[in-house]
Amino acid sequence: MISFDNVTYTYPNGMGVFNVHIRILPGEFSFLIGPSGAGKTTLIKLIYMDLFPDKGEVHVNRFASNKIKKRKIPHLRRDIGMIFQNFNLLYDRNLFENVALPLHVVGCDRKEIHDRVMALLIEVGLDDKAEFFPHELSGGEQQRGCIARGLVKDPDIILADEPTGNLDPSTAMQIIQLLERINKKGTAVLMTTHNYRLIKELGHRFIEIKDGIIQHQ
Amino acid sequence: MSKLLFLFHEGFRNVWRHKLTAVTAIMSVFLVLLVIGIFIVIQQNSHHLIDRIRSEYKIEVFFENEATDSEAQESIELMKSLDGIQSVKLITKQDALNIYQNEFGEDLNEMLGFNPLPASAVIMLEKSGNTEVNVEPLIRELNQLPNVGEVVYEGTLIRRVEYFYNTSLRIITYIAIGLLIITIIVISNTVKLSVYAKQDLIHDLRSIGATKLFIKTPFIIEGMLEGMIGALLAIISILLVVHGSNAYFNDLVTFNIEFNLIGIAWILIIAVIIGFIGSYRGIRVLLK
Repeated sequence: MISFDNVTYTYPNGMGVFNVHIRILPGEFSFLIGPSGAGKTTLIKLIYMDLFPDKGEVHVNRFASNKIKKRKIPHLRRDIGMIFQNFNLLYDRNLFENVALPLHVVGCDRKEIHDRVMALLIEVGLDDKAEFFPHELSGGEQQRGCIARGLVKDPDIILADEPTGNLDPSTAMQIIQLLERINKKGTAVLMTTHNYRLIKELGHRFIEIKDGIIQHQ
Repeated sequence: MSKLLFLFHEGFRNVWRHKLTAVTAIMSVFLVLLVIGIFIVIQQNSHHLIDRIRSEYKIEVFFENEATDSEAQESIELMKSLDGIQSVKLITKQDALNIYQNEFGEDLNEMLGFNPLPASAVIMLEKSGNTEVNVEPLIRELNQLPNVGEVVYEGTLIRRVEYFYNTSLRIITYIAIGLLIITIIVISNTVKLSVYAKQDLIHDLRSIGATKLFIKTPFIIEGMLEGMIGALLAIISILLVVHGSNAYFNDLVTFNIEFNLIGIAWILIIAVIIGFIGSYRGIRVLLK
């Protein structure tokens, strides 16, 4: 599903990721762990092709970083559900509209949008808050809303970039449990975190990165 | 269809969210289109006036003294075949004598014992619409016809009227183009502000797989909407002014000022174009 073949990406300041080899299989739940600045977000950006490797190749489903045309990048991203640390819900629209946004992009009709959004809001336990605006929701609720938005297109993989970074430990665990439930339905999950203690007991695969170099996988 | 509705909704939402900047852009479009609309009204109505002046252009051809009325009539037939001539009226030697007598009260034939006045022809030119009347070639052709002694025409007046009319149209066009450029810049800056304010949305749309066109379209709709609202305000204002003027000056002038559908269509087309160019300019750099 996702493969990094000897991938190097260097920022102008010399930081980056170096000679990365990773394979992530369909339906797999993996953690990408490492301290801040280790290169976790860079790997995520390489997966959704916001960045392109200086060396090596990234393959995501049928797309390869060295062959993909710019106009095809949106198609790649439609197979991926993105979840960010700072929730990234839009403050000028309510939860329902936020979750519905990816469906508008692919041109779904009103009824389908309503049915799919409400089903997901039920799944993440926010169906009673569909009309709420993000500022009316707690951090955990916003992140669950963000997960619902990531899932609404029924993606092959969820990329969660530090989704628990701004949450207290109890809420963070609830988010991870939600991601596990989603994973059990067949969606692959790659979640980055710098909090090893939070995930060490969960028994999932973890990939450790430090200074841009994979230490363990 | 659903996608299109969403994009329009987002475009309207952009205008509503940034009411203050939108109002600035709309007012700017309104003022510019008001001025341009007035220019259109002036153009539409001044050409009636210029057409009237053009229709009254006349050329007088005096035949040689010895030319008989029948020779003059033959020359007139040749004149009728020339381009640009609407009608030709023969004034025989006797007609000329009668006119002189009516004007000055004296019978030249009785005074001199012969009629010294030549036969002549009065030529009315074809109405030439918006095109400039160029009489010089016609004058040259008339001078070459048989029996023609002298050709008298209002050459200087014609040239002055045409020059003034064409220069005015040119100046008005330059002013309008300048104003349009300013408006495009205003709309472009408004849309730029809107794009800056929507960086979160743009980032989200990119990350969920929206195409560039999908991201750009609401901003283009926003610019075009501002253009259209400004245009509608300008059209309403011009219609009010035109109807008010017609009612007020009804007793003083014999014609009504016109502002027809073509003028309205022009304003709307200009609004759509400047809205599109302005907003496209606004998003072009930011979405590279």
